[in-house]
Amino acid sequence: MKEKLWTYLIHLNANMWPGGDPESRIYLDPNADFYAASEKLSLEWDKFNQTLEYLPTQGINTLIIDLGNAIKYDCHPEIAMKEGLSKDEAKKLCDKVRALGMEPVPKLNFSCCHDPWLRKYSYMVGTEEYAKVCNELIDETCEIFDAKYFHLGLDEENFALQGAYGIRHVRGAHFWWRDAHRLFERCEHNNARPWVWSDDYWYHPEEFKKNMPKSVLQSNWNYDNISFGEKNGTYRKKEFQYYVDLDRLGYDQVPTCSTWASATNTDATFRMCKNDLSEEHFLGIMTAPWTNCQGSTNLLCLQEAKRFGLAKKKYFPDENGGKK
Amino acid sequence: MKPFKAYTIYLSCNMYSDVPKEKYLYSKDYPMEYYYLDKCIAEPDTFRLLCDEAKKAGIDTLVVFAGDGVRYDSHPEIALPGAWSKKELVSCLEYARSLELELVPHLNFSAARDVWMGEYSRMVSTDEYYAFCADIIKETCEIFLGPKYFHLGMDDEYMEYQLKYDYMAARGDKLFIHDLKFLVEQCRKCGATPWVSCDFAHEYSHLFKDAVDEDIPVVGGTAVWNNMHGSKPKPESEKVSLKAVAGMGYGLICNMSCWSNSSGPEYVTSFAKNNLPKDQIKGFAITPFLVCCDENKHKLIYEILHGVRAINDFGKEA
Amino acid sequence: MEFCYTNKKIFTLNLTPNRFGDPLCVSRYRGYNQRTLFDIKTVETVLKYAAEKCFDHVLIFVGDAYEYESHPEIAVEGALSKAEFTEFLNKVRAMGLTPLPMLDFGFAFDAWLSRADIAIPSDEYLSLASDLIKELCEVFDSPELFHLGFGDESAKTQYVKALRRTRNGEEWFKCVNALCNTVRICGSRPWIWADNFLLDKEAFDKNIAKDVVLSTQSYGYIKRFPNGSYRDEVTQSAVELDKLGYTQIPASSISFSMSSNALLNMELEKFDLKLPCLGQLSNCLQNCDEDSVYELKYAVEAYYDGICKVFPCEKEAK
Repeated sequence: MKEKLWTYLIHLNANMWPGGDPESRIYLDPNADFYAASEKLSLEWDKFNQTLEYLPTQGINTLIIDLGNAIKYDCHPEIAMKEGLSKDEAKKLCDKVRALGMEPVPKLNFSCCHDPWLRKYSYMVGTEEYAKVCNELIDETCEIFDAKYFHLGLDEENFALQGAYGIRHVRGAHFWWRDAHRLFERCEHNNARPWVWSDDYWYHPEEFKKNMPKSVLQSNWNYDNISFGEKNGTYRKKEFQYYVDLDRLGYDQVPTCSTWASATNTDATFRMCKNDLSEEHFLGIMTAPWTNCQGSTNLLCLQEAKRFGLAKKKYFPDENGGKK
Repeated sequence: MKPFKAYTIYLSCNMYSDVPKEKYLYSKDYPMEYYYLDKCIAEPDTFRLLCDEAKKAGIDTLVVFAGDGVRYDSHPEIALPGAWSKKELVSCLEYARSLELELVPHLNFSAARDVWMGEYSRMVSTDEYYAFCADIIKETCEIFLGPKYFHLGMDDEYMEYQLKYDYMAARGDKLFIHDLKFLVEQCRKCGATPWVSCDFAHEYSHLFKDAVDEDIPVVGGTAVWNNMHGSKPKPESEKVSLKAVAGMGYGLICNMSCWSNSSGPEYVTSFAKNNLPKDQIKGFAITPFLVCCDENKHKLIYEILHGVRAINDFGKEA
Repeated sequence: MEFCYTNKKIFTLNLTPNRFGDPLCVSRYRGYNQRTLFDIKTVETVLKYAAEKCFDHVLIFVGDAYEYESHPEIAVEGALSKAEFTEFLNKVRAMGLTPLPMLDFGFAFDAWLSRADIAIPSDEYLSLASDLIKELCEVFDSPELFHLGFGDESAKTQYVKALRRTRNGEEWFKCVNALCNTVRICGSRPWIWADNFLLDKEAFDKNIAKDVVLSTQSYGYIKRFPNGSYRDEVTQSAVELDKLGYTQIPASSISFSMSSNALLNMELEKFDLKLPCLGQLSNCLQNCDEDSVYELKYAVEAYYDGICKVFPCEKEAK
């Protein structure tokens, strides 16, 4: 049985959110907490390392590193943050993660809602220049990570969540799928399996079924309390039903949990996966603290991992995550 | 002073969709005019015909939307196949001038109405975009021989108006006002007083006053003549915005159309009569939202006649 | 870092999960728990940490985690006896924290009362509530404050409940005032959530006495309009309550990982409230169990961070 992807999502910076809009002519509220534009990595190395070392003790074997503009790429040095990582430093980080027993997976979010890290290119979505930049970034990132998977984000592309941005962009169906396919192809060209958030299925299920290749790994997410339905595999709340739908449609999944909003979500997500997802398509579970490894928020990073570890021990006590 | 009567001629209507009809994904019953037309179908003969009909009906001002229907020297890359040469446009404008029609160039810089900009519409608020806008405004003013006014549009920049687009963009309040100020400045450099839409005057009133000087007339009325209902953002907000700009002392230009119903012009003049100070109404602008080609000529003339009738009635009661 | 804030710095400790949930709900995630879920080691670790940082009071939500002599049916498995609880409170005091009791009588947060088989509301209910208050006042040795809850009873806060109840204005005021009187008789000062002020400000001002301490629950990111007033009505209500003469203890929370919420509530106290506050409350909603230890410590850190930034000592400020 193939080992499951027990995954943790960690951030090197927060330039994927409002406030992280460095090209906006109008600068946003610097008190915006986690969601703040920065020329520095949003972490303290001692706390980051503390979290890194803690993760394997909680059964985590895969680390998705949300890069944003943290790396000083050769192909596009203009997008990097001033105090970002050099390519060598990024490679050393990957080596360290591997030495701890985890597989590093790069993440660059190409959703219009989460791309301020692209600097001026985030204002040029849909142009050929934008497409060229995306390809080059994927190529170089895959080289640094020797990536087997590549998380492309592509979530939450709507106007509502971009209220704090200087300008809001949303791609309509044609563009979105055209750009998504380009990104998938680029990942596959680099021998990395593309990985995305699945929320487009919520809004456009028919388009999703027609256009989303089965080769793309899905991470659906919902951070509320999960109310279980009458029968296994049936959920009153459609947001949880989507996990089951995706499974029955034949998509490989790594569902995502977080106790960012509800303390019981991790346990409930594990329970849902164990009971309702097929062995064939259930590839693992991801947890995300949605905060930084710095200051007091590092405690939340540790908390997230702790809850993940407790749930994993309870529902998948077998080391490889096999179901009993 | 009596309000002016303006009529708008479109060389291109590539402001309402960026999806050609055959690629349309969501709905088959979207109006034909609103699909993206990938060639210029405007005809100089129809342009001249409309000038004649407009003059005959009593129109004194001609607003001309060129957009991607003309091949600009500074940015030929945005021109549609079949776009007019500058010479053709200049010739038509000379004809209009010979009929003593005042000419007002119109280019819409709203992020929801800028498909005519080609790739630049996908680069809103970048340096390349600002350079493009400056070039286009300058060259347009040269073509129009230093117009007194320049209609900048800047209306409808809401998500709800772009749901059927392939690419949707909307600036936040501060960036919108920043860009509006930039465009106003470009017009002033060319000696033209800009016209701007009233859409955000109510929502961003404290920013709007900062960007829009008192001498700049403000255009509004789409929601009035469209008599729209439902959850779209404009209906009541635009009416409120028109009253708000009136309250701020701006000159008003009410636009009107029979596009959605033949009583549209009457709705506008009635609204203006009941809600807006008469001495602030600078003029009325008839906007048919149709390209000036032979196929559309009857509808285009119909718009002139209905619009002028409503404006004349307003004038009589005034 | 040092800070100069001499008002009460209050941390919340939940001894029972049945502040939330619904006894009728079968899901273990939103339902009632037949036992307390606190872990004494975690409680001691977290309280020690809180005391070392900056806290000097702890608000203990007792609920059904105590074996009431007057109503033994309320306690759940794991509840502390009088002797055990007294010993626990002594330990808390030895850490440098003054314990304050809380029982939440709001319909959204009274799952802990579910085993008392009486009609709610009724005189029997008020009598039972009074008995519990008296008993806790005794075991807490006449605490300075007694928090009675009484938060928002709308459908929104009762979404987990199978059966939702709301008291109308008069009935709500009657319940609140009856239990406030009981608290006063016991020599303590009553303390409630200020949520219902927004339902009817005039009635609230008329019916709730000025000696009742109020806490607004402004969680999340607090923003202001350009004119300085608060965008959300809850935070703005704190300003209005201050003008009406109420004493307040603003409550903050780290829910949704909002670390700056405590800081923002402290800024509210420093810049916008004229009357002195009695203190600031960190309303941690987590059970005090082993798997929440990091989150609870984070709540302490976020509060400490806020207090150092908003109320630094003079020498630090210079």
